[in-house]
Amino acid sequence: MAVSKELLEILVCPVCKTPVRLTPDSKGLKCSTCRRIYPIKDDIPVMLPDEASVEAE
Amino acid sequence: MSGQSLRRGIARGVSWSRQGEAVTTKDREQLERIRERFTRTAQSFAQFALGARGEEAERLARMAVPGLRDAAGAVALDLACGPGTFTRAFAARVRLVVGLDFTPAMLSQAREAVARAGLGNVAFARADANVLPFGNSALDLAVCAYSFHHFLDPARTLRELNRVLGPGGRVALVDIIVPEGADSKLNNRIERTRDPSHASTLTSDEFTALLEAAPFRSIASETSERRRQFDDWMQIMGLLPGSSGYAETRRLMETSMPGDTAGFHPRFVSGGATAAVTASGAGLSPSEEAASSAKREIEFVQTTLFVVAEKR
Repeated sequence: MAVSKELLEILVCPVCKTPVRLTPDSKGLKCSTCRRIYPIKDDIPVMLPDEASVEAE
Repeated sequence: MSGQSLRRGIARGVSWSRQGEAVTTKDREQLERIRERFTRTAQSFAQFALGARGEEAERLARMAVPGLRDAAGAVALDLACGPGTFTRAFAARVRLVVGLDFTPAMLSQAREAVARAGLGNVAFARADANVLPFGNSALDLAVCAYSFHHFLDPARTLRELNRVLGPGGRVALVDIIVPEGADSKLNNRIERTRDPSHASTLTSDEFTALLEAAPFRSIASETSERRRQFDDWMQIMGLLPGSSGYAETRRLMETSMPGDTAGFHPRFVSGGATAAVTASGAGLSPSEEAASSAKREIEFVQTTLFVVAEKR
């Protein structure tokens, strides 16, 4: 079971409110503005800034 | 450097909020208490809530959905969805429900409950109620059931719900309240002794004022009372007779019996017949009274507020 498409359409980065996009490996949701990547665990997006990683430049 | 940028720039344990309301160490500690409680009691809590509160979920949905603009196309949030009791009821009436919770064990329970109900229009995410992963005006309806008493800053959470709702959007809230005239401090002390993740039960007037301030305009509001067995209530929390948490919660509940100071209307129940509170222990020494009361079942009442309000 993947993350629902309808959910992906409305999820934004909780920090900067930019819409997030699925990463190429489908294991996370990335914010293109602040470069945080929110993990998807057990098919559930974890939209917590404390659990996000920040992609290096 | 202004005070604001100083706070954002250097404070440890405070970080990343661009909305001007930072997440503090206290917030994080409260979230961890919530996660601990609802992970440890996931099974017993889910069993209780999905059973005992199913009818209340239907009732709230009947209050909130009719009259909502384009209900069939609406996107709803179930904030702090727990085991999905209210998620189920609303999913049957709107296009999509997003169940959010901080506790992974609750999201697992909710996902199972929704699958058992055969509902395909539900999605889940983990999030913090004060920092929602939705844009401004993104949603039509926000449900939040039996959760405000876990929130440290309910005014802030209501402002956040107001932000993510579009024009005409509604909140549908259910929560326990402290009845009018009761000692709010004692009521909350009893709740917190049982559940360390309990923040504060509000009164109906406090809820009304917080909704006004967010700002929301109240559309409908009702209260109801649920009679509960003290031992069942404790068991949901994993507290059995003999544990210190059980003993202390029970002692405080018994303390509130004369005059019903905490507003729980507690009373001893013995062998199916109920003993009047004031008659308890008549003619017994204090130690005899304590020994006899410890064996007696207590019944009490939780007062619940249902409220639906529209974004202003």
